[in-house]
Amino acid sequence: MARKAVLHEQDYAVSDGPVRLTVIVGERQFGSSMVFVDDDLITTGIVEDLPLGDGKKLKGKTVVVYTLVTDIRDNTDEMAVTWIITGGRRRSSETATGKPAKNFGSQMFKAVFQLTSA
Amino acid sequence: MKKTLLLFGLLLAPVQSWAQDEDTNTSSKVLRLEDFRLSGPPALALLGIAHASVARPNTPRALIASLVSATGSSGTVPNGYAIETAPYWLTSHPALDLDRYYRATLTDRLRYFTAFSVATARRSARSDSVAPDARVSIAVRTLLMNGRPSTALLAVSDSMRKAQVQYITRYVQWETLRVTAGALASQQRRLERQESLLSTLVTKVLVGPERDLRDSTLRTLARRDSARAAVAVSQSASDQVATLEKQMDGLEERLSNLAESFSERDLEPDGFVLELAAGTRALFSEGEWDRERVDGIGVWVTPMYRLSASHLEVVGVTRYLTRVAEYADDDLLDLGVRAGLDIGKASLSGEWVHRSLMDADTGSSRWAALFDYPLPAKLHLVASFGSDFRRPNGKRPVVATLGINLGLGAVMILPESKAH
Repeated sequence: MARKAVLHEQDYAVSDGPVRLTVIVGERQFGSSMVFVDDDLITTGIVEDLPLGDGKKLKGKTVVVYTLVTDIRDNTDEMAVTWIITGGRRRSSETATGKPAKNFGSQMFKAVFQLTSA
Repeated sequence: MKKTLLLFGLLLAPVQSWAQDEDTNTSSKVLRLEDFRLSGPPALALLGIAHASVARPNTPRALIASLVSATGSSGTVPNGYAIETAPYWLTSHPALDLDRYYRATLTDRLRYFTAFSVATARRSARSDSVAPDARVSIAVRTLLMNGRPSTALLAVSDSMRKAQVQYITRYVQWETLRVTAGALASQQRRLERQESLLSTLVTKVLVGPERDLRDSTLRTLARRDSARAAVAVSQSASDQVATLEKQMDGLEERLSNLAESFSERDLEPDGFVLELAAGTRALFSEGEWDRERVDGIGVWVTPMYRLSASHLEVVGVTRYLTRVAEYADDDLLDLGVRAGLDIGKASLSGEWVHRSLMDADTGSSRWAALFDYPLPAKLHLVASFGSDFRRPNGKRPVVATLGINLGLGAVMILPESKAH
């Protein structure tokens, strides 16, 4: 595998309420994720509407999401990962695309969110 | 065992040739299960042929390129062209995850599984001066019901999930360690410099005992020890990075195999599957695009129920074809059902099909039972018994066979062909 991850970085302004994260592995591909807040592991596997904590406690922290996508389609190897964060002034939905180095191969996606105050 | 099989094979030789003679006399063949499900595009089935290759473009650009290259500029119907494409999959779908795909509504299923196919074929020319007629078929097929992921698919899915999490765990460690490991070369250069300097200073201190040089030597000695420790840390990190990379390579290979297995098992869902296909066929006189007339239609309705945990599969078929050449351009309607069951290593299946010839207002049925048992060395013991459709000459072949399948075709042991 090409070990270079498809990287997405952004700042996200949180409010005081609960912050939630969803990771969508698109293009009908198979993916699993691992979510860290600073260095603390929050969850692994499928990430859907995952509560990360209250915004007032998360300000200044960094959320890192690793998602490994494996190509399970024999007629295409398109891959897409969408990260949706809610709990700030606005909902954030960002998508990154990639391709594995070979058919039925895997590709790592990494998203880094700096949580800031609104 | 091999000697036994060889002896068995020698014993079979005369029996097999007798079977061929009998085949010639009765025109009956070894019974095979009917192709209830369309094995290829329905457009090909309408032409009654099987092309070696079917174009399956998955981008608009590939679709246009295929159509342009097929039509050409000669103004005549191409020979031996076949294409099947599902419009939905011509574009990307970054928001379509597996969960949504497997919980598809009827509207979603129509979008996901509807595929259009086109096939062309030319008959032999009637004479050198007349271009051959061509036939073109266009068809559509879709899945109205798509069952649910099989037990086997769910097992593969679990294994993939575990392997992916293992991979990510190692990737996170690797990402951290490689920063330290990446400094190994510079740490080694720093250590070499300190070693060299220390060597020079020690020599000078030994030759002339100056106090300043002695202090400098001690400071260099401390820096050398620090550099040694840093190299040891980087070396350790580098070793761990190498180990993690090896583990990730292994996991990647495992994931690749699992993904291929997933792709195969995805095609065989459990539960109720309902496939619908329909198409039309046209005849183009002398292969000219503007000399066309409709030549027939075909409709296939294939319901299927599979329970992989119980090794059970039941398939039904309703098939309506018009102007079938094999039946003197009569229209035919097939209604049938097949059940298959795996018992240990053996598989047992049986089918019944009733065929009605619409214009002749006659009907006939066929039934067959098949048994397959895998033997060592990739051999299969196969047995079939049944009765085929009544032939146009009024005869109805009954076939009973027992044989060993060598993987290159069946060697029959007890062929028996009788026309009643």
